[in-house]
Amino acid sequence: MSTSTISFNLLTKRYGKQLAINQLTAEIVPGAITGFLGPNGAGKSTALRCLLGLATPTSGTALIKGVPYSELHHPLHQVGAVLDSRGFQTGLTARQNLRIITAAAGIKDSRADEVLELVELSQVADKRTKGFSLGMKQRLSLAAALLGDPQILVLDEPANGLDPIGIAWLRGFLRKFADEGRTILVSSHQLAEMQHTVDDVIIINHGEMVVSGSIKEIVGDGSLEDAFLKLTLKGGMQ
Amino acid sequence: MNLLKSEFRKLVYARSTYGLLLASIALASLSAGVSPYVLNRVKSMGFGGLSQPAIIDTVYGKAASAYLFAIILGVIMMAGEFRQGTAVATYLAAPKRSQVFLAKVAIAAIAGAVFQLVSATLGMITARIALSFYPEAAAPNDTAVLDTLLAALISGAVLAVVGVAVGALLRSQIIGIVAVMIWLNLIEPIMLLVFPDGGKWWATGAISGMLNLHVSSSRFNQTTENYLEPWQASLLLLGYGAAFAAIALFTTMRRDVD
Repeated sequence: MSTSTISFNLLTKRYGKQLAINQLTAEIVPGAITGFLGPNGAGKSTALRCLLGLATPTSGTALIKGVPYSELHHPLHQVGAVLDSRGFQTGLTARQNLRIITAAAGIKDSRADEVLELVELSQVADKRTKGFSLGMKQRLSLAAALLGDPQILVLDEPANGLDPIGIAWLRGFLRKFADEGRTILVSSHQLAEMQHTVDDVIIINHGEMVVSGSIKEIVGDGSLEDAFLKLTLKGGMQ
Repeated sequence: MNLLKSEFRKLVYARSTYGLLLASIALASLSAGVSPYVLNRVKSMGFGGLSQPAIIDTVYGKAASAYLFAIILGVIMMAGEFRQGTAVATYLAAPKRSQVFLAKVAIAAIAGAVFQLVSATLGMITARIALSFYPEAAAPNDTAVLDTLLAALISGAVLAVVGVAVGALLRSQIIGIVAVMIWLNLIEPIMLLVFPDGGKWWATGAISGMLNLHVSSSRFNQTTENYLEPWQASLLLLGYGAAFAAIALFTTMRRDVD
């Protein structure tokens, strides 16, 4: 019996004539950080959007705990997602933005203050997000993802805009989250950072799976960047 | 209930909501306040003077003319989600899109109705003050105030729903606002001039029908005499709202969220 909490099964997404994802099949297990890697335009974000019910697959499935996202009961209690640093009304404060989400998800309002504390944004809770730096917006996005205290995190380029201290903080946070037996799927093209963060790797290119496995298997004695370039350039040559 | 609360918070937290309400009040008050002067000046063009109750009803009816802001409010409520990128957070919290759409429509309808009721009430107070400067001004017909308030209530609610639908279909706040402004301020008036008999079927004609106005101008070949009865006009406008909402819901269920 599969232990995966996230599964892509022959997932295909086509936009007109453009094939964004082609028969992607992969499984993500709990208790580990899984890196979802690929060059720009490889289809990472599209696959994540299919997983989160924001885009409809042309064929195949992208499931969480065996069901589509739209069929999850209280989805924010099960899955937290960071897709980009937008997603907040710039005229509203950080707390107001989170309270809109708590209301929609039936989460108590005090949780907004708890997650702001967790991502170290309590000091600016009542500031309008218009003046937030990219790093602050990323932290706020993460706070929103944590509102439901989910078992699964899906993160698209979460380190974008973070300074070295922020990146180190994120790495520690994700490790603690995974050590609690939860599931993390994180897409990124910051390979050096990913090498120090992830346990498993899925590499896609041109919408197709290139390789998946533990980082030790894929990287060996070299670097993730070397392995990534070798695998994606090889895929590109084909 | 959760989604209604969330949509309500989006509305009351946003400063633009209060700006639009003030603009709506200003337009309604200005329209109703200056119309006695304008109607008095143009009575030679075939519209009757202020001594006619029907003309006074028209002055009061101007208080319900700020419906444009109700439809803009609806556009911003929906298209703003795509402009700010909050649609993703909304659908992650509540992936059943039909429920999100219906909650937004419900809050927009209430907000649009409140916008128009407040604007129309203050507009009629302004009209009354302005008319006090004209000793020859007649009293309005008995139903003028109630007709204006009902027209404001229904037009505000329905046009806000239409705005949400336009926002869902176009997903662009600027294009949505420009589209509804062109529709209400350009296309419908032009169509009214080209096809005077068809005016009653347009949204603005339906609102005029709800106001139960009876004015004519031989010079402009315009009359409201053949307009729909208030209840018929109300049903027509509700039909517009239902049709727009149904089309927008259909597309919302099928389109990907960027």
